[in-house]
Amino acid sequence: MLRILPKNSNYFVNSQFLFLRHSSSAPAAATNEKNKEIANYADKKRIKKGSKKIPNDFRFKYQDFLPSPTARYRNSLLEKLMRKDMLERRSQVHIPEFYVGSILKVTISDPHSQGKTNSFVGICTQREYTGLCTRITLRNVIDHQGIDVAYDIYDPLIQKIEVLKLEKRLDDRMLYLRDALPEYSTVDVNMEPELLAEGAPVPVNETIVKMKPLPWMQKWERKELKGIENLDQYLNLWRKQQREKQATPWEKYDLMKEYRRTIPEEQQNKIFSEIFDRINKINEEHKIKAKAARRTITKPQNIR
Amino acid sequence: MVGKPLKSLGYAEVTKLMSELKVPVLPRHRNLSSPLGPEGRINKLRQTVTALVKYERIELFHNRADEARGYVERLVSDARRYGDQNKEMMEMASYWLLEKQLVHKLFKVICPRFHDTFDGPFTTAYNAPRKYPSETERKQYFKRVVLELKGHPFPPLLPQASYQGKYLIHNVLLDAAMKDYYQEKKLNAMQNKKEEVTESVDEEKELDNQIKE
Amino acid sequence: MFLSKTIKTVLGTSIINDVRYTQVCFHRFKFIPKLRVPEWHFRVERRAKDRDDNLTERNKRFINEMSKKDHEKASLLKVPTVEPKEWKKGMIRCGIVAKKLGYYPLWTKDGTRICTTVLQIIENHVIKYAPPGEFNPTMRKRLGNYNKKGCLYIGSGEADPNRLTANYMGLFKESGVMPTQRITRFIIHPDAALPIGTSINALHYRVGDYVDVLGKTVDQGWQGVIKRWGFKGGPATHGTTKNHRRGGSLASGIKSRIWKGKKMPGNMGNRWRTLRGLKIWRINRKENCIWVSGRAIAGAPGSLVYIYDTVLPLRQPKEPLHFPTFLGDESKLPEDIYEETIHKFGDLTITFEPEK
Repeated sequence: MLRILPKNSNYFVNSQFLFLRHSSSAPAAATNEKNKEIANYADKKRIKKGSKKIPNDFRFKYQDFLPSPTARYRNSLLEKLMRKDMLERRSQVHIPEFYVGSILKVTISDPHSQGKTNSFVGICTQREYTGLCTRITLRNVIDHQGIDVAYDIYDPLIQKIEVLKLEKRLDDRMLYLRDALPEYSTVDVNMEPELLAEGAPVPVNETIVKMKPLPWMQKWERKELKGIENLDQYLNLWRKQQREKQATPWEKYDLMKEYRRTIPEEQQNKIFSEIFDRINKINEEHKIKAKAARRTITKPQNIR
Repeated sequence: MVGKPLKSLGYAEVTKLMSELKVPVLPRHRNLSSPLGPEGRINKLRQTVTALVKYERIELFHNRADEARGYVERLVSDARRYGDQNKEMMEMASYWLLEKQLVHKLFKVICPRFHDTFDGPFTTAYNAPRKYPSETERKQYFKRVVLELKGHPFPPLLPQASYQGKYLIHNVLLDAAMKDYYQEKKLNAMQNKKEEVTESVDEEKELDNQIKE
Repeated sequence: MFLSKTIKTVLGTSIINDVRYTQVCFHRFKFIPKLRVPEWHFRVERRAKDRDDNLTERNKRFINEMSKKDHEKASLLKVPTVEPKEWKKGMIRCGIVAKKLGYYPLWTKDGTRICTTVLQIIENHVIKYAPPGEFNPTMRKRLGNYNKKGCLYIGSGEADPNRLTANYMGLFKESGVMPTQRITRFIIHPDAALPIGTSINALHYRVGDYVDVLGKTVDQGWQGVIKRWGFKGGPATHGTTKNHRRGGSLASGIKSRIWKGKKMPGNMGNRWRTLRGLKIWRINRKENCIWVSGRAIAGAPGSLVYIYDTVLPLRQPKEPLHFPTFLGDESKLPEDIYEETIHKFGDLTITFEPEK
């Protein structure tokens, strides 16, 4: 039996319309995609006057602007000061959108090398920290030697960050490449950038990696990684038993643990709406510069 | 929903969007000790969440209630956002709600109660009376809480907000004092002709507007 | 049945002057009372925050406004102008109470990264000045000769006057400053005295100068000898019985007793510790923040620290300090003041020119 709800209650829907939403007989607008959000959810929410509509990919492109979720280190003034400095730095260097698994080329000023610059091409294996401390690790195999180089993105020595191949992989962290066969970490140093159509979704590279025999640096079998091939063939009985013993299958359902690892949508929107205008302006300026640079490169030297 | 949670590397995860909880969230979870350890803790919370969704008003100890509150809020806000057609949402709901009929109740009864624009909280928690000191049992010493889902069919525990003490003598006197104060201020302003006359009247209205918001 | 009981008792507590029984204190850790308390033993709700007076929202705000009206003269404070004085080496000026915000990386112009901590200078107002002779503390500190030194009382942090006792608020009556959360004493040279009501901001310090920062270390609680003193403990295997994390021998046969100060388990942290000689790299005068080198300042982020001019002999300022405090025109200075060697984020990328 349903209680007749008072009219003035500000959060209750009128009882007449109780069964219209979320009925399973609704047209199958939903797909079987993972983490599918109801389209225009943001539109349905009351949009305050003067607030901007933040595009969905902002949180991936500008993930460094989001603070660390640990409550102990949260401070609004510190974050505000950092964001201001980050925008200043971004006006000098274009920091493009990238993911773990993309192939990047980073050029830095190096006082000890010839020509005073040094560049490195590699797969981005992990990303650490936020704000001005954001750091990425690029991995490549050069002359049969695996090399990992870590760069602070906001380091003023960095001249250029180019994305040679924008793609995602099956995992968020790819440190297992250190224990994988070297062919999976090898990237051509003279690779040409592969451009994607503007507005196209970021492709997911579903290559599955083969591992070297044990010993490994970490117990990869316990981390539920999708990018590694059948791990059981490399393990002994003890490792397999321990994996089952140490497994925590309930953790993926732990909603509050997940919440404490994230910044909720409202806070994200607040932060991004602060930087929205400035960051778009900066991006446009970089686009113009890039276009101008391309024009000068393609100009032919010998004209017949 | 994504898989095994990764050890924190100092940045916020952005793969999944979630609404802000309007309920106090402590920086660390409570242990809720049990023989199975962390799994046992989750099992206990599952029971509480199921009970809350089933009965819509439950009385329990403070620690468990506070922990479970966050989970219920997350469950309801996610169910609203993703709906029952989303495979992972369904998996999550069937994990937390131990009875199958309650999964249907979540999507078809509880979620539609709330407007799209309502942020939360979807639950209320009241301090319940403790039997200490009349009962000599040790357990009765701990804080007790009544957890409720909003929109429940029961009569309210506390008197309506609109009534809350408006006609109590101290409120009546304070109202009168406030009116006298502002009238005096207005008179002074008119006499001095320095301050704007409308200021004092607006202040009263401003206070009212602030409360409505 | 269940419902009527709860409603009765819950409704009962909402009536004024009803006696409610409640715990006197509630520890954060598990607290299982061992005593069986007698039936007639109940405690009355006395704390203001536990009492529910059933005031309407409008009246609550009216009361807040009225209580703040008493402190209105703080905003009308006319602070007498301070005259700048000549600073000589050895003349101690007052310090500052600041809040530790957190870690912030800065880079120098040759590309080296500097780890810095941001300290936010919360509102500091002078409440009282005790000239030399008047200030005579029982606990003597390192600058022990108080006959020739004055003491400046500085209040910092906002506090709600409704929650403070009349005794505490009486301390602020003379100065007319709004009651603050904390009062700190800084022992200074008499020439460094500031008039009551003066506020001190980040420009009290200069970029390139060195400071000492005092803070209370994070409380680790009761810790064993390995974590507390860095002992190595005993072997994990090879037949060791119950000696994996112990301290080993306590003393030898010489004195046939344990020396005082023997390192043993105990409370770790929660101690006042000073970090000396920290360089100031950057000052933001709008937000009142200073960037100070290092990241080991005692305390968790958000805790209060005290900043003093450094005591180290090799880090003394070469130019005279702002004495008694910064008295110049603030608006002439840029919003962000950087040390000479610091790379500003808006500057061009650092490049090295090839040698010719």
